[in-house]
Amino acid sequence: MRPAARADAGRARRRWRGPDLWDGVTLAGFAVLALLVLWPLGQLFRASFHAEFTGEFGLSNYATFFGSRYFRAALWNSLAISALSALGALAVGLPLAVVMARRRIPGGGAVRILIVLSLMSPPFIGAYAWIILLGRGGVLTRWAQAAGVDLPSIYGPGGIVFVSVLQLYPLVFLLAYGALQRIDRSLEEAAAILGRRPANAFLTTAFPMMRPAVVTGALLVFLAVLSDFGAPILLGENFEVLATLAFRLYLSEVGGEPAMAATTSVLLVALAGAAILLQRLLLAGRSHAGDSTVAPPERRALRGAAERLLLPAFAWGVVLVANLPLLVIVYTSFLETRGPVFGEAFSLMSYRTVFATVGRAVTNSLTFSALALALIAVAGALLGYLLARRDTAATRALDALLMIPYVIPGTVLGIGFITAFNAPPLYLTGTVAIIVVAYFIRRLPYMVRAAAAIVYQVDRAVEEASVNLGAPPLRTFRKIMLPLMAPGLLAGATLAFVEVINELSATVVLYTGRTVTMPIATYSQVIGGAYGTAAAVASLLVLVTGLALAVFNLVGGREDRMSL
Amino acid sequence: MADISIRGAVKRFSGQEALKRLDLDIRSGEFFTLLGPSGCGKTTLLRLIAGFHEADEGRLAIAGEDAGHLPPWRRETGMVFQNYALFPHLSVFDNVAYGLRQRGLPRAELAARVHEALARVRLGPFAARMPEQLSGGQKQRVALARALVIRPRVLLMDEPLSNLDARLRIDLRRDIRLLQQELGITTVYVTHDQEEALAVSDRIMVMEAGEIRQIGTPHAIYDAPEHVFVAGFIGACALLPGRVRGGALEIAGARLPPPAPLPEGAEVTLALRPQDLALAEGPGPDRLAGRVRLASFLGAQTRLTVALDAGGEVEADLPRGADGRLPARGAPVHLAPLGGPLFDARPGPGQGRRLA
Ligand SMILES: Nc1ncnc2c1ncn2[C@@H]1O[C@H](COP(=O)(O)OP(=O)(O)O)[C@@H](O)[C@H]1O
Ligand SMILES: [Mg+2]
Repeated sequence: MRPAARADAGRARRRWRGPDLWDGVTLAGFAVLALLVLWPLGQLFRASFHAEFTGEFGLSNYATFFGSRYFRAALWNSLAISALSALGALAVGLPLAVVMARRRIPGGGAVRILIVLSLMSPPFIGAYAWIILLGRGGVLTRWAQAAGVDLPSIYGPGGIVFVSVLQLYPLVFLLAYGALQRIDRSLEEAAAILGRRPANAFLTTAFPMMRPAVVTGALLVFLAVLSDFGAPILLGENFEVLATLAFRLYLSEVGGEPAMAATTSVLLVALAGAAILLQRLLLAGRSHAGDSTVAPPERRALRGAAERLLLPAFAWGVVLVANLPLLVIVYTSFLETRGPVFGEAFSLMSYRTVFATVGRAVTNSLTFSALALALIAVAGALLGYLLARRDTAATRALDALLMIPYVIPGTVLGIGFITAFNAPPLYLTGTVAIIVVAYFIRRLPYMVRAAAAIVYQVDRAVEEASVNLGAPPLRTFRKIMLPLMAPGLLAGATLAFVEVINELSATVVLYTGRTVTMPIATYSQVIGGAYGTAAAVASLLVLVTGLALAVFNLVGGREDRMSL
Repeated sequence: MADISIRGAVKRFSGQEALKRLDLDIRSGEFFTLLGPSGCGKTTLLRLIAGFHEADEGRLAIAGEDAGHLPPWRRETGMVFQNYALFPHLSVFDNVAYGLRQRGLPRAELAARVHEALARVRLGPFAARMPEQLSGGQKQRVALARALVIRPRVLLMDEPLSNLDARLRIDLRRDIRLLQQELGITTVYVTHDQEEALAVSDRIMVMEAGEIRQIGTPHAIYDAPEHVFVAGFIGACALLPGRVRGGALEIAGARLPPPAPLPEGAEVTLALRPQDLALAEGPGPDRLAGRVRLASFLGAQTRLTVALDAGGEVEADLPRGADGRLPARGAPVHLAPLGGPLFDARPGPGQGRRLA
């Protein structure tokens, strides 16, 4: 994760007498992480050891959890859908990466764009769209019934895995495709010269080098599904997973069971942490193979009828099915509706309803995201620079702490925030601040990594040249590093914006009537059966997301950085 | 212009001394080169002068003023880096103007000075280019203009030519030397290339493992090495171990008259350059016997590589013979040493010092 050059570079330049700006940034970084990560997590951890009603200290909550068939089932369900989705994403993403990297598929550029697009559309919107298509009374369901076929139900674990795979296979694809591009063609050629048949040469040379991409991709999918709230809550019905369980325990109509919610949350975080550890173990001692200056093997034209038919069908089939939800959402948002029933005629009634009833959600979403984004950009730039340029015990500890938000599912963060910030001096429950801050801390690690990656690429001597010419460190940072970091920061910021504006799982715990957002509005309209309004809000979300991605492309963001 | 004085400078990296109590004076206006193998502390010393390292002990004065506690942005030094270190987002003009902008120069004067500096490095027409549109040699000339335009008290260069190809290195080092003489600017130049050091310097300081081995003019360094390390590092030179016995110097099976009285039993190292050996007609007690391994024709002379019968290898330059024939490989030869510096080889504090 850390280039080797860094250790040496870090030592090269200690501060010039006395504490400076970067000591301040280090301190502020610790303060922020302590307040927004350690404190809420610590509160949950503590709560999990105090019995629900008596408050007695001990393991009674854990005993209750593992003693109950219902709770245990949620744990197994979470593990099962996460693992199955990871496998499914591998089964779709890997072959697709190989095909796209090694064969010329008609319209290959469009396929790659569509792959990224399906990753960027919010997961709960995917779930909702598939309900419209395959739910009870869904469009496809009715067609199939008319033709005398019974389609499998979209509800339940199968549906959750199906939707998750279609949403998340791009993570595997991007990593594997990137790895394939970094493998020097001479390797496979060498293997071929040594007498291996092409397929065999690929398996013996390229495949082992893709192992880090495969492991990391599978882990990312596993984590995403483990912490997902949207798909399970919309599709799960009676199928409970940890994220939905924690939510229901915390916010149930009958007063809730905060201690059990805390216990569930702790288990969820523990699982996510274990998954990360497993990835580290599997990849221990391996660096990512190859580098970006090599010549990747050329894409070969399709040969033979089978290839010409099957490969494009596969590639196009995957991206079209994965992007179908977007189409469905936008299309149905313009239909006349009555409750969950769509009419035939086009109409703007859904949009009128949106602005009449949940117009606040639109302005809220934009405001909260913009605020969070400003914080993320500033803190990300400063911390990224700090971690890339200073290598001390303190910065290493900061780096490690920054890993934690990666593994906190949104629901858990939400519950932690409410638990931690519901008493003076930090009484934030129900405020705008609590939502903005939650967004901030969730996306900060990604931005820090993105910023640090840019700083690593700038020779230290460039900064030293500026200092030598008379610009003190702070001015050097402003005049030299910031302009060099700007495009990368902007690219990172647009991605953060996309993530934040689509955030559901933490918001659903934190919001009140005043702070409702677009994802929340969509979610509650779906739950309330107002499918048209839901489609309209979701379409607006998709529009904003699309605009942000257009900005991302304009500022030179690259597909392979998206999965940072 | 300014002189630099360093007294008792020590720099440690995690307890390891990279500079071991250095004393040196660099004169105003001179081209002073730090020469030594990789890792000997050249960069560390240069960065100490620039202010990127703070010495753990010792004092540094520039132009007679204590500079050791000035931060690097106030030292008024101009630094040229090995990797050019141009600002990639600024044009050539803006790169060169950067230091002047920090000094708040009026616009017109700034433009005039930038153009003058670019003209000096023959890059006038390239002012509007971006760094990525320049070749390596051009980049380094921009870096040079950028360092010089602020009229620094001293110019510091850390292996500025080592990323360029051989031909360009020779051209550019000539340009650098001419410019330095024209401006009369005190220059501290770091290189590990002895030929480069000999070609451009007023004086050279040879370093080994954080210590000074010799400071002197290129002539002195080449002709009168004060330390066995200097003899071995500069030019082609064979180092032969020997011992004083019965008043004579026993080296590689030969007995030579000692150039100066030496104590009986002294262990020594004799340094022989190719031009210090002549081909002898036949064997003799004061001859080195060996066989030709390699004979290379160099134009003005022929250089023989000879494996000595007593072990070891020497090189000897033969003036071009009338018949122009090269000695055959494996042919036995006898070489007469014409004399070379002698160094103390006995382990101890004086090891390596010149004896005679
Ligand atoms: N920032 C640093 N941290 C630790 N050791 C260093 C650092 N810079 C240099 N050194 C050590 O100090 C010694 C001298 O290094 P340097 O001055 O770079 O040598 P040179 O420039 O002559 O090749 C080397 O042993 C090197 O490993
Ligand atoms: Mg060096």
